[in-house]
Amino acid sequence: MRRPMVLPAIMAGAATLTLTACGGVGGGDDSDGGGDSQSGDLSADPSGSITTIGFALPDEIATVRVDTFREMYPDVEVNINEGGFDEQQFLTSVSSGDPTELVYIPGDQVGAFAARGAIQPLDECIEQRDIDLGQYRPNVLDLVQYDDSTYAIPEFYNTPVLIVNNTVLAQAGLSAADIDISDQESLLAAAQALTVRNGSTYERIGIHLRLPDLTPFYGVVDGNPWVAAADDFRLDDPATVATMERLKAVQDAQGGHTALKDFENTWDLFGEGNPFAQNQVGAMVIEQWYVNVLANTSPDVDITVLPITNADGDTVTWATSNAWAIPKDADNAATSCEFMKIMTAPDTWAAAAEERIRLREAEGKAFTGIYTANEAADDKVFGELYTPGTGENQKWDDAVQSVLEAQADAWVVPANPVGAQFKAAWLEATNRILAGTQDAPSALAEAQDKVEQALADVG
Amino acid sequence: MSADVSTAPVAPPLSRGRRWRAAWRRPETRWAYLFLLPWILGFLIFTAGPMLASLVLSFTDYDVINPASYVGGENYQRMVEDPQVRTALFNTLLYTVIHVPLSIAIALALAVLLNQIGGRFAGFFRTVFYMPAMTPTVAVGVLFLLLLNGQNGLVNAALGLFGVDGPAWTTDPAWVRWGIIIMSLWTIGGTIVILFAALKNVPMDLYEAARIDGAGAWRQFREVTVPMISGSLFFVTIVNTIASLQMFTEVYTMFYGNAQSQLQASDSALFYVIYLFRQGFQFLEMGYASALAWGLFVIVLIVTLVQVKLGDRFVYYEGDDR
Repeated sequence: MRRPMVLPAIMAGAATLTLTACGGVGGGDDSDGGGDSQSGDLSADPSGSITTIGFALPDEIATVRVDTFREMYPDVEVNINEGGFDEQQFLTSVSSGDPTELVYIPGDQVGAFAARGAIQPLDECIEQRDIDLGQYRPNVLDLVQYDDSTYAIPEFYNTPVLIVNNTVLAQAGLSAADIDISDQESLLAAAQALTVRNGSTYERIGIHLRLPDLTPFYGVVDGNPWVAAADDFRLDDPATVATMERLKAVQDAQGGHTALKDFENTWDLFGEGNPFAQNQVGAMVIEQWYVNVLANTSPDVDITVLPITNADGDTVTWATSNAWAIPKDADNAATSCEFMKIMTAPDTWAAAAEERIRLREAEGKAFTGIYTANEAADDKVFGELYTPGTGENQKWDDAVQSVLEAQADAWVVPANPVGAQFKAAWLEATNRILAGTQDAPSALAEAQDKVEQALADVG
Repeated sequence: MSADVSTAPVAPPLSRGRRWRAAWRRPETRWAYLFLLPWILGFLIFTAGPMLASLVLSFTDYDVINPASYVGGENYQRMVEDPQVRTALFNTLLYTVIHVPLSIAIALALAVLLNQIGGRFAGFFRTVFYMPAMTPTVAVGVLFLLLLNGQNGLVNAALGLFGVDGPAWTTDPAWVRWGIIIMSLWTIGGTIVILFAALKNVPMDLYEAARIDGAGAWRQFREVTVPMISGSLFFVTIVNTIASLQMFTEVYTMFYGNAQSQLQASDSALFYVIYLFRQGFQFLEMGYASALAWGLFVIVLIVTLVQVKLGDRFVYYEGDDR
């Protein structure tokens, strides 16, 4: 028997599997970056069909708004490709020259896609379809405006608050006033007092800072935002190093970051067995949408929601958002513009809020608001539709007021061309520092180098 | 009477071109090429084309959106200087060096056990051992995030039965690589099947002769079984090595697949193809990603060539003249 021809077959297989991973994208066209200007009559009546990616319909807040557009324009076919934003899906569709009409992207990536021309500037769309940018929160517009143009229309307005588990605090003889995120000494004391472990097995995290998700927020709390401008990153600033070292100390005081993360991974965050219902956490820093989750899944849970303050006692917060954008070379821009306008208009948000109020009332639960990037919409929801809870629901009204107070003046990462690299850099550095595999100064210096290199590459 | 063969006319050998033309005149040759045509077209369009494209792109600055611009060997120079490439390469090679022999050893042990089982349970056990290989790789990644959880995962629960306090397999950088290696053993069903088939082909008379010569079970395994299945062992070694060097889906699902999973990604989970993918699609550095792809191709090529050379010494092919 002759020896089988193994080598050629294996070489071909290896080459195929390895090299085709990066070869099938296709070439770009003659765009010079910075996005194509929109052309055509953007004020035309909506028609034809539009398809979206990156957007899902998980609840009535999404479905009612899409239905509102469909009712206004019954002849337009709206296809929602449900799912989270997928860079590969988006980029390959743009590169092929046949993208979807709309894409829903994380706000911190708008600048990068704008800088490379992957999404279109919306200035003409905004002008011709009378989208009133004055209604939108100016700080959130910083997320989506790049190089003097607006590239996306923001939707939600997510800001962290402190949610305190009163049951757990009472057992430990503490009160909400004992937890001050900006004061390291009291934070460490509370964290240690509230954490419950049985050997290496956790029963409760004392104070859950949601690291590394919210790490940049603590730079804001400490008076040192990590980004000063689109090309001015401060990851290696001594103040950033100090923030990371104190965050590591808090994690270490509760048993260490990796063990905490493991325990967090066992939580049923969105279900009835959530960490507040199960008393698995003493206090948690988390975006305001979690108040809505708790009001729905655990209406009887005993919590207090507080805005977070800096060392001077001033409320501080960090805002993030997702936004609608039109990919380069997308068809039917007029209809897409109208869709973005309708999806984020005050009346549409109000319709969604009314539906949520109806559903919550039917179940005897409190409505705890929706928080959008459109200030006029929020004024409408909280001014005309929201009814403060009383009696058992008083705590939810207190929570809503705290959220509104916290949202007053939020910091955002300015739109910049290296959003993905910046996030990857601080995430990697944070994980190394918190896990103890690298000290804060060197990890953050490396992260800063990576971001600066990425900036230089983009030019 | 003798034939004068020395004077018999000998036709001169045909040139390659004439041989090809002669073959082409035969209908069966034309039919063969006709049947091969779909594969040839598919290879040219979907494999050779993208490979050539990636080779060209590896010498360019290309962000997927805008036209590529020629940068010479910059991407390759960057690859050599990039510390994260070294990290990714170290993780990938370490995983390969541990996973390949471990998975083959376990697969061989299970195949030998399966070979001992007869009767009506034989088919049942073969199916059971192969079934995990049918699990979609994304599902394997998600499943093992649960199984390997340091607080309430089944792996640590099992270790707890022996009084061992298991580590944080998915979050502690010191243990993440070992967690991934444990996960990788889930899919050894394919290797088991190949080795099991090879074991079935070992002639029983060789064992009988070995027994007559006084060989025990271990000696029979070492001197008869292993040489007789060395061709299959060689094949699974090469295939598993290439697959290990290209490890992607399970680890990507566990640590990079979405915004939430990225929060627990550590350097220990940074495999080469994951780094390549992130450069291309997350950081829009497709030119650099293409250079990384060719770098991996060269590594795979060298490793495979070394294995083939070593295989010449150790692999026995039935009917071979050695």
